[in-house]
Amino acid sequence: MPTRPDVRRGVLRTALLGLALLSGCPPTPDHFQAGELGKGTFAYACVNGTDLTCGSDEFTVPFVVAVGGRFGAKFQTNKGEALNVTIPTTELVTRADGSFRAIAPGMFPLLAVDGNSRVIDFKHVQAKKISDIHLVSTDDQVFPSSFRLAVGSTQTFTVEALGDDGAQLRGALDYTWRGLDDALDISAPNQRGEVRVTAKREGTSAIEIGVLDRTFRIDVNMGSGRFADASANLPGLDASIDGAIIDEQTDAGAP
Amino acid sequence: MKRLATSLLFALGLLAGCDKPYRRVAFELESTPPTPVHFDSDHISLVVGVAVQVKATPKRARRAYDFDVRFSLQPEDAKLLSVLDGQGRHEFVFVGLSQGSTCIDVRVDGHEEECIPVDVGPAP
Repeated sequence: MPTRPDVRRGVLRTALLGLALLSGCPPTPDHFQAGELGKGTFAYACVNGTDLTCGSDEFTVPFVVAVGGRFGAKFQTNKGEALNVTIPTTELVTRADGSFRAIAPGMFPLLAVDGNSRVIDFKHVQAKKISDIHLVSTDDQVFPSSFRLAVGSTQTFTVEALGDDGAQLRGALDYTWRGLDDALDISAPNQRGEVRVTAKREGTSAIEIGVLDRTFRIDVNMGSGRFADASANLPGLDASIDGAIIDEQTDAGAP
Repeated sequence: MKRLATSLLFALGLLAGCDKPYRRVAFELESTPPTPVHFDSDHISLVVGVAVQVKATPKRARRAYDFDVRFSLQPEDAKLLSVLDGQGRHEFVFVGLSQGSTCIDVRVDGHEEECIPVDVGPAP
């Protein structure tokens, strides 16, 4: 039987969680990195909840963003003063609506500037092209190439973008989801980039996930009740396609 | 008498800074860029996407500039290179923006003294 303080704490926790969800980012601490001039610390700032690394404790360093991904940054001096962070527009990165977007792989600096437009500190950021994607279920299972789903059941996924070294890339990205046929019911992504996939009949199908100029394919095996929902890469399953690229256009496709 | 007057005038001229005042800019790196850069009085090179902070000090032949001398560095082509003021006196942050060659206008007390060649290399 919960006591009154327990109930109050529960309500407070729920309210905080709700606020965090509404703001698009989980309520986790910032991940700071020292500036290269030693005058303060930079922190990654997610733009919205579709950035899967938003608030994750695992992604403190290195500071690597996906080409095409939108992100923000914050800076605090060693004396605790918050300063604006800007990026010089180069052939590698652009600014828009208070966020930044890498448009080509490479390196660029985040600049912390004071009210007199003086650079107080800076930090270089690496941008990489997306080499692969994984699906991540709400219970944190990772599906690089395929998953199983019982007919009539639904699983919710998000997408994580990976660089050529297999490390997760930061940045908010817009993914398009498309079922290969009508065997799957696929919802539109919500604010956090979550998509619900429902198996409608037995057999095999696939999901094509597009991001920028690339499309990746995830196979889906649908069966009766003997299938565990979204079981990851069980023996005997076709594991030949690992987020395979099925359509690659030019590099100029980054918006 | 005439020789004495000439010598006096010459000495006064020197004291007043009438000798060729500007000589060069001395650069001192104040950050460790992720790729090699080169800064000297005659030539600068860096690459696209790299920022580096330098302390730049104008030098002249005979005596140092006054502490409060007005001194600025301006890229001739601002599309290739950005030169921003740093926090300290005569501190500047150079950022390579786009590949190409340009030069940096050196202005001391409002006079354009020289334009130091700069090469901005491709992104690593």
